Amino acid sequence: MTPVSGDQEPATTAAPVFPNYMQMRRRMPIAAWHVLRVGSVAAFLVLCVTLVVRPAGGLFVLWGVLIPSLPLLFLVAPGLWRNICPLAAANQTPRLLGFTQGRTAPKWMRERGYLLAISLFIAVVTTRKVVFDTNGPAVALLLMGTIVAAFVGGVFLKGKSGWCSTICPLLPVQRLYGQTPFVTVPNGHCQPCVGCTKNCYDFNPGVAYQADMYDADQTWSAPRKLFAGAFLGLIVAFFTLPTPPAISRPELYVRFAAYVLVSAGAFFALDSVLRISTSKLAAVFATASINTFYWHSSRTLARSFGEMFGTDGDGIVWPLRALVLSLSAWWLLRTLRAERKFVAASVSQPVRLAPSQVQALSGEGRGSDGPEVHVVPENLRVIAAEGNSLLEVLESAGLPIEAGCRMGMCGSDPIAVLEGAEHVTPVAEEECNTLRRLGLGSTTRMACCARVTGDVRISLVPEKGDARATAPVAFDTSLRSVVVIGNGIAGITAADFVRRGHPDCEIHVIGQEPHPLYNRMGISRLIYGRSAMQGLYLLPDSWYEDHGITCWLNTQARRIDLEAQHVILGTGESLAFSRLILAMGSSSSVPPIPGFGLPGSFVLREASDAIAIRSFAQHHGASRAVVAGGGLLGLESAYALRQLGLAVTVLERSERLLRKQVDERCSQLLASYLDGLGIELVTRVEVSEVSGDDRVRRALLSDGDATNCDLFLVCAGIRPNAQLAKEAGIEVRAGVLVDTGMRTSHPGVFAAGDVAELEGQVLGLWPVSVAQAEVAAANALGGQEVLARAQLVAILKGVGIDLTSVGRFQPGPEDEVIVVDDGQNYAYGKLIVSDGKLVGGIILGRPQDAPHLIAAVKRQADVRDHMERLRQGDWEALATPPTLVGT
Amino acid sequence: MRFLAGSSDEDWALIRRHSETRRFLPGDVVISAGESDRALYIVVDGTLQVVRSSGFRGRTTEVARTIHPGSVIGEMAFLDGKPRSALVQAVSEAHLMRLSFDSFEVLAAKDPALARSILLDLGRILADRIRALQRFETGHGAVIE
Repeated sequence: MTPVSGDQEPATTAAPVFPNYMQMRRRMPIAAWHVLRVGSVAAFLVLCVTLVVRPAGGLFVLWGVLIPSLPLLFLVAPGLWRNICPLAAANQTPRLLGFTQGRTAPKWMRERGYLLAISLFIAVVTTRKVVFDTNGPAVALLLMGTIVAAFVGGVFLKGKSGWCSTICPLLPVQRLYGQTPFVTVPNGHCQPCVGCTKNCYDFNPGVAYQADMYDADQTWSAPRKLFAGAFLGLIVAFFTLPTPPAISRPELYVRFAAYVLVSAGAFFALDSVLRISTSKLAAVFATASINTFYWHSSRTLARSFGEMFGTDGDGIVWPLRALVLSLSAWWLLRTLRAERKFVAASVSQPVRLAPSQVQALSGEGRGSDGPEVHVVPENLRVIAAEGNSLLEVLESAGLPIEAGCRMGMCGSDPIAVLEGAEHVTPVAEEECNTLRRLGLGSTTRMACCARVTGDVRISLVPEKGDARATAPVAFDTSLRSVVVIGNGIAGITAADFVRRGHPDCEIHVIGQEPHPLYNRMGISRLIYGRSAMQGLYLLPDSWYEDHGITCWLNTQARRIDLEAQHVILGTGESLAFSRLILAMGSSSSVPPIPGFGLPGSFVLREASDAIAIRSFAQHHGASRAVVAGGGLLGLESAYALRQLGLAVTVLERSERLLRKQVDERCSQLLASYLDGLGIELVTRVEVSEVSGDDRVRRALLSDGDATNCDLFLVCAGIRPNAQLAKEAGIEVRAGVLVDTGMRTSHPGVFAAGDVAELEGQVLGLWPVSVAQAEVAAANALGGQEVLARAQLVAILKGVGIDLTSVGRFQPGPEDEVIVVDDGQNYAYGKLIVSDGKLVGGIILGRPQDAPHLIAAVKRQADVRDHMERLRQGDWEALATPPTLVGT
Repeated sequence: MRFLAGSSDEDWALIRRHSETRRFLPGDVVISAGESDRALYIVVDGTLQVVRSSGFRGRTTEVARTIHPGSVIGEMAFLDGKPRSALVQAVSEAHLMRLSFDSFEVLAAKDPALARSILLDLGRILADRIRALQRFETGHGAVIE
């Protein structure tokens, strides 16, 4: 695609906007230029001789005719001068005759040569008043010096970098005035171009100056700007300051310097004040400069004209001034236009869609229909699909929001709904409890629960609220202290609910990990995300203090003395309790695998595990990982490792993925999706050994195969941390045995969460832990609550596709099954209807239907009236207005 | 040069499903230079402008280019994940489809062939652009021995 100007469609065969010298039309053969150059060098030498033998004549020609004419030539046809300049000819002679060494110019000369050129130019102009205007031999010496310097530059350095394009004192003037030539004369020297200079004027006269002005490198562009600013002051100084002996020589130099500095200062001051580009300002200054120059020089030229032709030349003064004024005004307009073209051409033309596609996109309706979610202060307006949760909207917009259980229970995604609260679905019970726990302002919602039905304005930062819960009417004053072992969601929920029921007692929470409550469901993001623990913490910093809860982080409970009702800490301290709530959670269960424990073998249970995996992978440049276990955690981990750039293989013991959560077809779709992500899946296989000298290098499989890996991660389920309870004499099987009131075998001691075993099951799910902790807390305070039978929900998130499974997914003989299968789009749904009631279902890739499904299965919704709609895939039918619960 | 010229309606539907639509009011900043936002934008309706800054501390701004519906923008940061290079502002009310790189990965898992066309088209466009820049900025590409 050729850069083009303006806004038109890119033309396929557009002529270059700024043709370079090879693309310009050549009116004269190169040989003719050579002849002209011989003439110009000869004239130069004759002038030098004249300056010595007949100084008056030589000075007249140089200062009276030649120099006053040059700026006009630079303005109109700078290329002509660049081609016949005797200094350039001298500089290019070594190349032409084949004896140049062609070296690359030193760095200082390429980058700072322009400053030297400016300095030389100013020095020469200033010294005219002292010496050069009146002393012919001195000028001859100066001219001979320059031509020798130009020649020497050509002997050593390549292209024109030895003089013309770097340190020639006339270069700054040529570039300033010559940036928009009326007549372009292609460079007749460089055959071929050897790329000796950046932004070369001789290569592309139309672009060079703009490219300088817009150069990102300040050390390159600033000297160019400096000259554009200083030049006007230099001209004014030259024509207005008295000539020695009217003032002393030092004073002359000081006053010259002052003029130049004032002029340059004014330029940079205007540049910082005016809202126009530096390039425009430079062009305006250049216009002012050339008009000032000819205001004075027109008289010089007129005098010279008069002397040459023996007439009174005064008549041409005003016409000359008018000519320069009109030419320079025209030049200014052309320059501004050239700048616009340059800027447009240097920004790439955007990629375009075909018009029919644009029409299809805008005609689709998704463009402007749908509720708008306006996020402040970011000022982002996202059009949401109706029914999407704010969490989904914010996630897909790439905004920083954490996600956890996606059911409003964990509290990882509080946001503030500032306007349009009536346009999001109302608060249901789980969310209400979470909101009370967080104690944030009344505008707070959990983003995962708030589904958009109309325009809303939200903020990612919830408003602060009055944290203290209102005190209950009656409470047991004999109860002095409650100790909670465990700082996970079960422990914190228990502590929170104890405080809600009892405003007075001491509450101690002992946490083994060094972190306050964090979103355990989000830890796989620690592996590939760059924000570490940021955003994972679930409670405001002051939460423990606001609730009068003493929190012991990074502290181990070493022993429980049931007799004395004390918990003894690893630090030696002991905490007395009236009631004890066990919420130690669980650890990863690791089957006995020889070699497990070598550096590079990991589990993923705590934030520190994920942090260690990320560190290890970076430190050792890990490239291959094996994940043992194709459950929810295994898949999330595999995705996380893949995101980190590792090749990942997931090993699943059974014949398919998520065997306990989804049916065969769903497993199959999921497997094919993961395959597309580059995650390899091997079923019916286990790891029999990991090996390596210094760290994990290989995993041997049960089928006899082996695979190389740097990282080995076991995701094989959980094991309750029940050892402490067992040692204390509390009844423990896999976990701490509890009844439906979360009471353990010892009175006054309760258990909740992953550590508790109820009816032979340790479920290890966040919502279950929350529900159990609430019951444990209520009963610790003397209540008689019974845990409601939970409908288990399995959710796979954070792998780029949403999967929800709730209740039964395999039908009984009498049950009716509804299946919606759009395998091509990885969308799949299955409902189990038993006796007219919805008892279970699976949803893959249809996130908007998931909350309806969960709610409907939980209440065992009667769907007999909606069977036809459901069969058609319209699962909106499952939605019912949720119960309103006040916050 | 067209982007995804040969793609079917189903392809576009898939891209749409993995994108989100954003609305901008006149003057709103769509992309700001230096920000990290690894996403591709397609202008559905409205007009935008690319703004270049110059002058003292870059406070002077120049409208470098106007962008019309159907334009695809942000492909450089989409591909390399580096900070944005230009400032893009809405001139009129505008709707843009935004395909984040993460969503693209998901789309690629679902339809590798479409993802391949997207990447190839972007690659082709960038290759063309580099050639054009070589011609435009130095022109040396063709002549240096």
